[in-house]
Amino acid sequence: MVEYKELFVGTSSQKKVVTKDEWVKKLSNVKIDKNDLNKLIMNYFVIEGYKDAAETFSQESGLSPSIDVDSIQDRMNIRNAIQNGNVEEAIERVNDLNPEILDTNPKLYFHLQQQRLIEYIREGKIAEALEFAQDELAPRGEENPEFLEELERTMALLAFDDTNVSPVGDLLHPSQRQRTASELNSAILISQSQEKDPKLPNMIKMLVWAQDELEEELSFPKVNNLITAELVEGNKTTANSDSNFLSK
Amino acid sequence: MNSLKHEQAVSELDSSDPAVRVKALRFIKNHIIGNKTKKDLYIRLHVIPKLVKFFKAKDTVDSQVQIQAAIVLGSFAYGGEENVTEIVKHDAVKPLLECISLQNDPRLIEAAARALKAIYKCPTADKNDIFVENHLRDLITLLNPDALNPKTDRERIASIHTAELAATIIARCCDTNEQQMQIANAGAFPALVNLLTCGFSKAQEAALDALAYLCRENPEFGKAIVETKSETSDSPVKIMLNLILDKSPTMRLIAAKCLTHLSRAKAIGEYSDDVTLIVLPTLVKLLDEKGPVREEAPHVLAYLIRDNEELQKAACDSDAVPKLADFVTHVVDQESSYYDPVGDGDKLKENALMALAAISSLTDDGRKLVVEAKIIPHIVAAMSHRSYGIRAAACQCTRSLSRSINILRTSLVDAGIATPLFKLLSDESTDVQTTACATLCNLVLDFSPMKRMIMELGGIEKLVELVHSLDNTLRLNAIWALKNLVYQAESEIKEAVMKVLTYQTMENLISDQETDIQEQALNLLRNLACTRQHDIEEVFKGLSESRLMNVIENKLHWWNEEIIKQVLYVINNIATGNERHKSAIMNRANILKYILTYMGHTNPEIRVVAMWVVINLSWMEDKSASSQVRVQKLREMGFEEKVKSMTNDDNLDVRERVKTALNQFSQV
Repeated sequence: MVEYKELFVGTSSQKKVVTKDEWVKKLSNVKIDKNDLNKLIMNYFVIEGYKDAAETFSQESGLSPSIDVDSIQDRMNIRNAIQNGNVEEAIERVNDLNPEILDTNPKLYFHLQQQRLIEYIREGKIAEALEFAQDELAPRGEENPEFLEELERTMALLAFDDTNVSPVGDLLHPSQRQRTASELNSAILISQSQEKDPKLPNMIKMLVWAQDELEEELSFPKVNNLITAELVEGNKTTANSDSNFLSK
Repeated sequence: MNSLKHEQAVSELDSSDPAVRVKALRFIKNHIIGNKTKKDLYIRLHVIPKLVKFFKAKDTVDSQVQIQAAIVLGSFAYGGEENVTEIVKHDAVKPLLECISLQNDPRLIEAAARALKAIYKCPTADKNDIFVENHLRDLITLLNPDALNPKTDRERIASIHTAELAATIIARCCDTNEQQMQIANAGAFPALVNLLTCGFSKAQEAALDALAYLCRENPEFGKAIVETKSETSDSPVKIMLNLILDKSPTMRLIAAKCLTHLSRAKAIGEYSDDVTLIVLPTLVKLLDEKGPVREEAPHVLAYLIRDNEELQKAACDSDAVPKLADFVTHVVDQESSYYDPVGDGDKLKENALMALAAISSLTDDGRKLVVEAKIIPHIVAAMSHRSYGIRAAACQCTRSLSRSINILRTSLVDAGIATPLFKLLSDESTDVQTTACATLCNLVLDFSPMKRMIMELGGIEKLVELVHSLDNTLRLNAIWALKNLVYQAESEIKEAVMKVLTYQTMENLISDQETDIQEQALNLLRNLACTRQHDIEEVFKGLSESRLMNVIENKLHWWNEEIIKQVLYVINNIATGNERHKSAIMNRANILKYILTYMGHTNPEIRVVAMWVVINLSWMEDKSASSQVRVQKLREMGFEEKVKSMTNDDNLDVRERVKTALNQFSQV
């Protein structure tokens, strides 16, 4: 016979509760090799191109970076050039490093040229911007129609004097430079047979996901602020649970 | 566009100061990389011959100039086929090959190898230069990741990258068996197998690719690769089976391709289960990827399962068919672009159709799945696509499907394939014509509801026209289709075909330089002379008795077993005729002697047909005197004795015929 009572237990709104003390005790029982954690951090520094941090961390942890710091330096110089608005320098550097990268990645090349156009506009060099768009970007749009939309969006920057009200003002935001720099960084890493993404951000995404899944069944102390990693009990949530790691 | 600064850069290449030249070269380089318009501009400014000159005057040029010049040449080559033609025209390949010698600056070696890779990427580039002097040996030396003596990690990355470039060049230079052999003899296998475990994915992919092309359709080299000793304890196949599990889809695809080529070269041996359990499922899974991986996966899959019923069944058990069907129905046709002249969508569609054709080529299960995927209307539409590759692939699909009588009579008729298929017989591409003709072979058989329609469209005239074409495969398929058309056909159809083809042409085809065509032409004759005495009489009239018997006698001493079989069938069909037909054979002592000989042929199929001939020749319609004389003559020539000696033949079919024949002899 069917035990109806049994069925209700499963759908009960009463979740099992784990206290903070119990939780901390459970966590401390999980053995994580310090060396593995160090490697995870080194992996982040190396791939993101933080040369100085990698060197310092190497001294502190006794861990050698998986690749030569020189090649991190190469990537860092390129990233910095873009962050500083000097796209031409970045292009020259990447061509010195490996001339195949931009010859075989039309989309990346387009984004670099687009970034150059954005920089002209940022500096108010409107005549140069128009000439550059016509000479350099229009032919790319003809070759690959998929670029046309982005090109039109960029040109729309010229239509608004006040970038704060411009619907395409985001292109002038530092995050646009960061996006371009990251795309280029990834392409270089791929050309060197290296991982293009650091492992850490994915693991943090996994942590957030796992907490959400577990929360369906269980009330337990969560990490809501990823920077402080403070354990918060019950359903108390802090407003800013998003981390810089995640907004890459 | 203001081209003044570019013109100035070109003129600065003539400067006597190396520093000025390097500066100009770097200026040009940074403008043309990634930029088709600038590449074209500089080619118009005649920069290529100036670059080539830097490599010829050895004593006056410093290596910085050469490095930058090689990079610029390489970048031009990335601009497509026209640019490569221009580079080759100005004799740039030989000097670049000189640069890859180990005595040069490592950066020059790397830059030159990169340019060569880009040049050889173009399928029309001439590969011959690489096989002269020491170039091949130099390339193989570069496959060693330590060849450039790297001291820093930066140099190590460059050295491994050079090994990757060398492997890629090799992969693109083994189009022919002769080229495969030269590369293998120069010692490529151990070096490439070694590169498989270097830990740098790009170089590993390039090594896999090179190994794949070196053993393509080459069992000897397949075996040699499998038996190559690697520096690790694992065998090469084991290493590849490891790489096929890699995180990167590109690596998985190339490993699957390499294992596919080894499997096709029958070199996979003890790992054949892994082909079914790992390689095939990996390829099916790769259909979920994007871009070039998704595009090539069905192509490799089609090649893997072609002619292999077991693997086709395994593919049916996977979810390959719905995925492939999706590519055929949902991929939007794209405009071609500079970077991808064929267009991703077109190639994917073509490869998906090829894979569907392969899955349904040998098993009814596969055909059923394709029908259930409801894509036949899309296949029929694809037969009129602008890309000839898609037309040919769609045609190949209908060919596979038409092998099922059931589908032929239902789905294919409903989809109305006869008209589009017939149009493809006149396609501008010979490939398409050939495939269309092969498909037509299945549509003109007697049970096909489309047979009438194809004849009404002018099928006989078209096929006869193709019999006279220049392409041997096309001629073969055309005569094949005509042979099928008259198979068990009504007398009027046979007469209609021969009126257009003519007996003279058939006689010529029976003596064609291609044995396959001879065989089909004899088979046509066999089908003409089948079933009815009236039909046999037509053949006698068409060729005349003496010419017919001469053709038979001539062909009987042919060495080829298929030809012998077909001639014996022709004789057999004539021997089923009336007394006049039988005596035409009986009057030719040579023909009878050959039949007697072939009764003892090592091939049981030939013995069976020869026995049928004896049975029909010794057949007595009535107890007439002529029949008695005929049997008596056979007995005198030793036929009865020969038949008696065959009572213990290995082959059951032969023994059964022997019994019948002995029974007939005993009645006289």
